[in-house]
Amino acid sequence: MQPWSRQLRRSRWQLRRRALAESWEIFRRSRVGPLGLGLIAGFGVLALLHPVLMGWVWDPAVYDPVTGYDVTVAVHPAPPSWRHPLGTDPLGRDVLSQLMYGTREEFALGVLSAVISVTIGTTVGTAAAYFGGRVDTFFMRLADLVMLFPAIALLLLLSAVYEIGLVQLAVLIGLLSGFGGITIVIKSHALSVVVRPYVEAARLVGGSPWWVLRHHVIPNVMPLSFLYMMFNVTGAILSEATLSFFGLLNVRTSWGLIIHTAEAGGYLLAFDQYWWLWLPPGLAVTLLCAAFYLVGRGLDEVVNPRLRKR
Amino acid sequence: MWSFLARRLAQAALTLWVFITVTFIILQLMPGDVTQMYLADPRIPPEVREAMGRQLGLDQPLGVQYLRYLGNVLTGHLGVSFSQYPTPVWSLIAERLPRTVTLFFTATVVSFYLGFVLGRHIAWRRGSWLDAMATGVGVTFWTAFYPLVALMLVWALAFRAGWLPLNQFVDPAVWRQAPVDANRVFRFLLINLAAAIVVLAAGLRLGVAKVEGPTARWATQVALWGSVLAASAAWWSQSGLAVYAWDIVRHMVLPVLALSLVSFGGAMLLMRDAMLETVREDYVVAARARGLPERIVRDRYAARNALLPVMTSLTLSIGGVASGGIVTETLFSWPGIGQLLLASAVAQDYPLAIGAFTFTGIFLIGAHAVADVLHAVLDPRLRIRGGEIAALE
Amino acid sequence: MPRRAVAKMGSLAVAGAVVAAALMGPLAVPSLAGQSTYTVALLGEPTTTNVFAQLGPQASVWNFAVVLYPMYGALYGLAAPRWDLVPGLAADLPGPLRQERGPDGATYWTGVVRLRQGLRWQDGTPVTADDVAWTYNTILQLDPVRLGGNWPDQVHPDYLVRVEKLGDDAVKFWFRRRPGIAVWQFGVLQAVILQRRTWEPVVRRALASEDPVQALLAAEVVPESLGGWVYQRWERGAFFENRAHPYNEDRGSRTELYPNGAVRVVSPRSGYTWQTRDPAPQGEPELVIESGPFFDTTLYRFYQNQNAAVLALIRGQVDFILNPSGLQRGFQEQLARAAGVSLVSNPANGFRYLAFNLRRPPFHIKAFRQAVATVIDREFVAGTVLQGTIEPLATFVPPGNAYWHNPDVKLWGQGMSRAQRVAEAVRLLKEAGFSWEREPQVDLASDSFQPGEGLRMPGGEPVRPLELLAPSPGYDPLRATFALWVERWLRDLGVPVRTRLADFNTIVNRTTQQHDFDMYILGWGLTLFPDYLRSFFHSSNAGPGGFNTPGYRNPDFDRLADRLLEVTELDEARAIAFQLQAILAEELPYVVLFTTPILEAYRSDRVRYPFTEVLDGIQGGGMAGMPSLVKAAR
Repeated sequence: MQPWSRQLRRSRWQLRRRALAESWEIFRRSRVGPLGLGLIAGFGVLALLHPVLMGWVWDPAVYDPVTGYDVTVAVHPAPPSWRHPLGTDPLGRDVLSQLMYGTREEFALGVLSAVISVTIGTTVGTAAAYFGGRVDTFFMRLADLVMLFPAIALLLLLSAVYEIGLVQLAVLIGLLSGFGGITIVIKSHALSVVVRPYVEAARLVGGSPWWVLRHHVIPNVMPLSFLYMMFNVTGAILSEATLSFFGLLNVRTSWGLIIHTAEAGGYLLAFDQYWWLWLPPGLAVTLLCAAFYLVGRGLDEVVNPRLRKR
Repeated sequence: MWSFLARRLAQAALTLWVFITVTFIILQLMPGDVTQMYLADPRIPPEVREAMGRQLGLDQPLGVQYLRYLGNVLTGHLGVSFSQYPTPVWSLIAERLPRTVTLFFTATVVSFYLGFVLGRHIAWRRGSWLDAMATGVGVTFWTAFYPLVALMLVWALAFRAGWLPLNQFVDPAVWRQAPVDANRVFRFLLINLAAAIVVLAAGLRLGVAKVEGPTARWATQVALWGSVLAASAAWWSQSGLAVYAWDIVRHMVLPVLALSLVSFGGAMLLMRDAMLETVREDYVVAARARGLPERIVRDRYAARNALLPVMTSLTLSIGGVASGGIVTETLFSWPGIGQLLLASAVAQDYPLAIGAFTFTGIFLIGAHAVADVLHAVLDPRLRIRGGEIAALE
Repeated sequence: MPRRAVAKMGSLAVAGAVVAAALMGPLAVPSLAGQSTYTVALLGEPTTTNVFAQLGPQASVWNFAVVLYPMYGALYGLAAPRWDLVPGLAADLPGPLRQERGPDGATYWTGVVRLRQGLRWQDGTPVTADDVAWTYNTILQLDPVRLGGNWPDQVHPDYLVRVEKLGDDAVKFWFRRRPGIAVWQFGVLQAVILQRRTWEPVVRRALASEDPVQALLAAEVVPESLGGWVYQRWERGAFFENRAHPYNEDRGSRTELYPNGAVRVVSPRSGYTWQTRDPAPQGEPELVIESGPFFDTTLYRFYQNQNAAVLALIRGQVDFILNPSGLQRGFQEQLARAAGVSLVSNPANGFRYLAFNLRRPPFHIKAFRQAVATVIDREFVAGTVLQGTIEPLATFVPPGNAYWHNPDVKLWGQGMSRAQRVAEAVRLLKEAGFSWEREPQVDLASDSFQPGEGLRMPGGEPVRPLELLAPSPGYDPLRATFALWVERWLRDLGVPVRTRLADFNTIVNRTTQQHDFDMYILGWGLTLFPDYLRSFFHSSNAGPGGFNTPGYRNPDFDRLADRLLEVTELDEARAIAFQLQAILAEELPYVVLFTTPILEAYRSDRVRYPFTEVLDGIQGGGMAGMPSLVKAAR
């Protein structure tokens, strides 16, 4: 590698770092962004703490989120106590343990589906903008079609037909939103990027289309991609919870399933009783979804300068 | 204009074909079939189940089943239900259609209107406590777990407080001697609602907007609303069906409230963002500079153009509303298409599930096409015939 | 908010209120004063009033509840709560079967049934022998197998040739083979009887069409009635209403059940009486059931989820919730506190079972199955883990089906502690030649044990890893939980087993179609007559799609099971059913695990039932909430 290239690289890195610092400052000032980030971090701690607790503090026979059962408690579901901070469910399992285990699952689901959708959306969207013509038409029509699919209805249909676990669900949601709305948004943004002089220059000096895309177009739409990733997580978690609520997913434990277990057992009749069966998972769904949404809004201000405060 | 419409129609048809095919593939690949449902009764001998399968055409090759199905969809036959053999799928959908459409039409209009008004308002007062609060409430409901919200509303408003009827869409005490069935009243309600919206929209745009002066404008507006309501009331009491329509309306309050609560947030936040973009446009700045009153600038300059992206998102979110239907219809005992889809999918009633799903698809594709045309009419850049540019009036 | 907006909203609210008030004015509903109504919540919707479809492909609890049970009758029926066989349209028990030469010269078996006089259809015309004969002959002509559903079991076309009317008050059944009790008393004689006047034109039109069966099933018919109720109104998606039969000659009839097993029926309006001869009624009846209806109308309201129905019950909008699986336990406490609501719990006539694939090792070895049965501690799971949400059940015929239940079969591990169970299982396995890498060590003195490891087949090779299929917790948490416990107990024995929680359709497909399984847990709903034992375990049902999923083959069992269908005397059938149960308890192609209690709730401040202790509960056994027996409270 030639020295000037290294130097170029370094200066580009510095430039990026400065841009990043600037962006962080805007993000920080948006107020909602850091709030969301804090919430996400909180849930992250919950998720990470679970294996630790299971390994060293909790007896798996009692606290396992799926097979655990506390024989020392006479009647399940039991209200919160020192032994079970969030009580037990109708099958005698610790609600807090289920909630924490579920957090990990929700993160995995949300992040996996978001990564899939954004990878697809970014690649397809920038390619459509760059190549135009038939590629563009094809993917735009496809996006129209995918966006028209009533997502929950389709997922419900699929989950009634196939055995759908978290991974399958994440892939499905990722595909649905990747080829759908995200493609269109990224494409319209990328359109303004591909006409910029340096892209033109890169093309002229003989860069292959994919090289130009990778080095000049995609980095410029990345912030927007990242933004949509956040919104996508919210959608994925809500879809999972809804499908689990109807008992249609084959998952070991999830927030939706905790509520489903309570509902199916007849414990969701009066909301002032058995509150520990619905409030923690219900609140967790709302908070985590809101957290990702808020981070998205914070990023929005970074990406979209027009939204910034006057 | 016509070539634009033709292109849209061709696209819609293609979309529909892909939609039906994908649905068919999904359902054909599933394990098990309808005759297994009869496994629940140990006394039914296997040969009877085989006979059932033959009767239902399950022994035909896949290609034949597919062609037969495609042909049927094109000729308006969605096949025959398995679990309710030999009831045609179409009649099952038709029975539930008025309920679903009434509920979701109302809920969409209410939540969109609410989101539009609130979003417009809070964007204008950006950074105020109202903005923070409305955003907070909107985000909370938008990200809330909908089934839980629905159950809680039933419990709190209908059960504990007793203000609203508990579940279902009619009260048998009212309907036991009714001269007509509920679907007839649903159809009349829909016509009434659509007519009222058209009259209101036209009146607000053509009549009220032309009136000068805030007091006169306000009076005209009230008169408009009042006359629409009075005309509706008059028609209903003349028809002798008022009591039945009123009963349905009472039952609709709770599901509409639930649906609006969770979906107004989306429209509101979108409207807010769109407004924030338009207030920086030159024509808005110019209008301000001309010293026009804030309200005029807000409503006529900023909001009108911010409406476009919101309209687009609304039409795209119709898919989401259709999905929300499954939850709403199940939890409020309002048997509609969504609930039909859920039940038939679980019972592996392929024709019924495909039918309900296909119908949802047709409905969405239609709504999308309508929205596209609307968009074209509203958007000055896309307006096909010339005319004034809305933003400059 | 700016003042103007407030003013606008205010004026809108006023306008709305004005309109609302205007609407409220003419809100007078045609009055139903003086009409008494029994209201039942259904957790699903009826789909048709056509009885051919109801007993065919659209057989559903909800259809039966609103049309079949309240409107139709048969020659004989089973009287709850003891399930005695009693005459319905028949005047007395059927005459003895005889051999007779038919008009075509062949020999047939015949039986004569005398009919009651004076019963009438909803239009006032009498129920005659012509209706009865026409019903059977028409079903035979249409082919019960093609009609599907329950029809082949009602009109057994392999046996029944035709039905001949003998005057106006008797019919003669012609069989090509000698019908056993399953075909005769528990089959043909309990088939629904249709009104010829209602159905003849419909059937004629159907037969003239391209596909008669489809045309018949699709026909829209206002159902006829000879039961307690006639059709009034069906508001689709919302409610179904029946009103009391205007020509009900049996209103006020009394069914007396005596402690010695005797039954007497007295119908004062029609002057009809009937009683069992052996045993004859003696002393005071233990239960007298008076037949109504005692309400003017029955209203069935449809709810799409159980929360809605329970809330309606607490608010007094419905009197009873009809749910075949009963109410969930979570409702129990809240309903117990609700004023005016009573709860009853009854065992369900069904079982959840663990099935073995006898085609594969090690399940082909009986001792292995017995060892598994021994370590399964139902009482522990029922009492400690699932706490009253399940009732332990170990027999193939539940005790609640008292007439057919064999109380003296082998129950594996009954009353043993966990350690004793392991010791017993180890003994069984060792006797059969099994060995271990590390044998389970039981210390009976301290009632504890060390789990074993690496069970080896009698040939010495290790037992391969086994898979236990069970429904996922979302579908049924009870079976999922039980499966995990079975896994734990088997591991104690050193059996390498893993539970796979799968969705219902996958399990059904793998077990009934492909026979690709080691063990699985599913459940059955049962009938009162235990011919299901034959369906589940006869070797002829062991092929793909058959009910004998374990692949159990035993010629002795087959022979006995075939005879169960052939005998004609109730006592003899009972003896055979007892033998079948004894064989199965020893051979264990299934291990029966548990049944679910059916919890039901009703408004005891509004309605009163003649009895509430009955297998399957108030909703079960064709009673469907007992609309004809329920009385207003006070």
